[in-house]
Amino acid sequence: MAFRLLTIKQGGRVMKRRISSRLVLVLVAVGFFFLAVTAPVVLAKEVKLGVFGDVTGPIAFTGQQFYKGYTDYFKWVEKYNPIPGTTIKILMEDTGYDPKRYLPVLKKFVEEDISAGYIMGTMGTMTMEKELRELKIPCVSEGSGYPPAINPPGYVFLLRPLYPDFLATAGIYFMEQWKKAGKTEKPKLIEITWDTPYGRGCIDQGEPWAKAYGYEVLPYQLFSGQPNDLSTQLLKAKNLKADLVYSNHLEGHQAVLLKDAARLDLLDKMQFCGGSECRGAEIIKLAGKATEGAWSVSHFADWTETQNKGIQLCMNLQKEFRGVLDYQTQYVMGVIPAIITAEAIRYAAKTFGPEKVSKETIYQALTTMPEIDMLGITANVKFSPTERRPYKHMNVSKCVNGQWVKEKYQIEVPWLKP
Amino acid sequence: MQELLQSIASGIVVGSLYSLVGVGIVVIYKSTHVFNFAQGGLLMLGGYLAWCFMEQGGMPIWLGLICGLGAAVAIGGLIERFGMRRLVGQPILSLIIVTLALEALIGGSVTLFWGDREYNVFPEFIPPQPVKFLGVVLSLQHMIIFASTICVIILFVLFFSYSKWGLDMRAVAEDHQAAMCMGISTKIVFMMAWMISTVLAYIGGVLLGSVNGVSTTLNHIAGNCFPVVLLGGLESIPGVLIAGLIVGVLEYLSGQYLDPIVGASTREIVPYIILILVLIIRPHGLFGLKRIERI
Repeated sequence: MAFRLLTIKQGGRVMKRRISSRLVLVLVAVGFFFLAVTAPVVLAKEVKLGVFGDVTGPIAFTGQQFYKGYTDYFKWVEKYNPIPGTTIKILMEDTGYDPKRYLPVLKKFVEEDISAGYIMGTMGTMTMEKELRELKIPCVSEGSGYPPAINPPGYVFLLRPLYPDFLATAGIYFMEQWKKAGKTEKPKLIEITWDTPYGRGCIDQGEPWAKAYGYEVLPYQLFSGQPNDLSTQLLKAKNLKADLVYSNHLEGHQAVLLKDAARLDLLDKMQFCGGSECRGAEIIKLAGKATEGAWSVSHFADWTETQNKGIQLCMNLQKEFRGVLDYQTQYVMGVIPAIITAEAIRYAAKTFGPEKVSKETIYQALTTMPEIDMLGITANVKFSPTERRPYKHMNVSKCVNGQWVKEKYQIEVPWLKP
Repeated sequence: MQELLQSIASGIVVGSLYSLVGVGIVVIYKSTHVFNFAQGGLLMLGGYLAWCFMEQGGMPIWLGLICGLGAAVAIGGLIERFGMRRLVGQPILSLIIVTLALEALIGGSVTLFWGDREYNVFPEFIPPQPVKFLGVVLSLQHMIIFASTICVIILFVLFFSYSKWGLDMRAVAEDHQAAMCMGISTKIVFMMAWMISTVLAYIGGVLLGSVNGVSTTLNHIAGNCFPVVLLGGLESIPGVLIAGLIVGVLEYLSGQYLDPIVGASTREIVPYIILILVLIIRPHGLFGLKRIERI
């Protein structure tokens, strides 16, 4: 048995003790144990996501619902289907749909070293698109009203086709019905829409397409602010004998339009159709029976599609994280960017390794990964190095008996060129 | 011709709503010389209060409306007591800035407490039935808005002309110190002005909310009311009525005839163009008092 000498200074005297090597081994083992306990564990890679939250300001409600859907999905991912080797941290700053606030928030997110972002509207996309290209931060965006974001393709990945494609969806489906009814003359299309970049989003590309597709396009009618009465615009549509009235505006606007159309006895004379923000429970509450028969074009499934796995997921998210089922179209829309972002991170982690997940690898994932399974909420998503629109298929829903139900899904749109 | 008549009728209805909101601003200005930028916020708050009592509180419509009215009176009183009274004697600009802060505070509070839905809908107490005359079709809601506004304005003209409180308020507006010397309590007058103004905002919120639903965008209407008040003359209630109708009708006529030429919605800028033109010619507005000061 080996012996060692330990020299211990005590009170100025030097003491020498013999201890067994067994004791040394025990001490070393204890030391290792404490080291193991106190040493930092190998941490999962923290992936920071920046949300440009328009949770106050003119689209506050929409932004709040987007944010709820987005965060709930990531909570669900962390709980039931975590991305191996990573944890997700969501940073949200209020941008208030105010162009002055986006760039300071972007600067803050750059300091935080975010790997990807989520933009809630056209305003944020317009304001930051150039900077995002320079900073090379991939962001998914609701800003379908800003075509330069996709041409040439940059770092903004749209969550739906551009607004003119919404108009085209309505145009294609209406023409199908028109021809089925045996009508041979050109149907007349009029836009009654909000005078904002969002509201005007269909005009420049959508109306020339409609002309080429066989419509007679009537002069568009605009309104500003929150209207209380849209009689003048509707009377114009009546006098010009419009067949299809298309609007790109919010639920409150569409409710006034439909109520006024009912008052002017126009509901049977023309088909009213709005974009994706014209389809929710609120519009039915606001406009009542006037909503019956109205159409809405959108990129995602109806809440009434309870067999749809994506809608089931949204309902489960609400039950689990909100405690109640609350039909809000914007909530569903908030889940969509979360699915796309989560799948891009998952793909980046799998392909490059969790520690390599960064804005560069997420960008690569978004542009090269195979089709993302959207569980039926929308058509499956596929970007490419040259394309920033997610899919070519859109839905038309109809208000029947106080509910928005499937009228026709998966209508292929032309992807109108910006 | 039908388009012209419809535009005028719609303009009158919407203009009357501007007048109703404008009267609230005038009442405060007449008594305190403060231009209340928070009137839009108070209108929004009024709509939310009514909705809160009727829908969230589950009260019958009549009881919900009365409770909302009571809450509006209390809020008006509280604003005066804890916000404005402490600033008496301070430069008028400070008071005006406080009203701007109040607007932001109301907006933030409403979003905080009730901001999780875009539109909150009252139980239907004014049916949107069409009412036709002379080829013009208006909804019953619009007719009631118009009738209510006219009634309220007549009531206030009478109040300021004949009632003791109304005369007290006018006296305070004219000269605070002289009014106090005559035994008029300026504190009570100020408080009453804020209460009345809040009640008017509440009525506006309920009427507008019954058409558009209650949302955080309800206060946007105030943007069109400020030019109405300045156009009518800051101290004239009949002036505000007439200015509201002028602005409303011109908005709709511009929408009908100017928009196709310009290719954009001109409605929102029309009130301001009218305002600038009128103020160049009559700086005190159409019916405002021309002040002559002794130097």
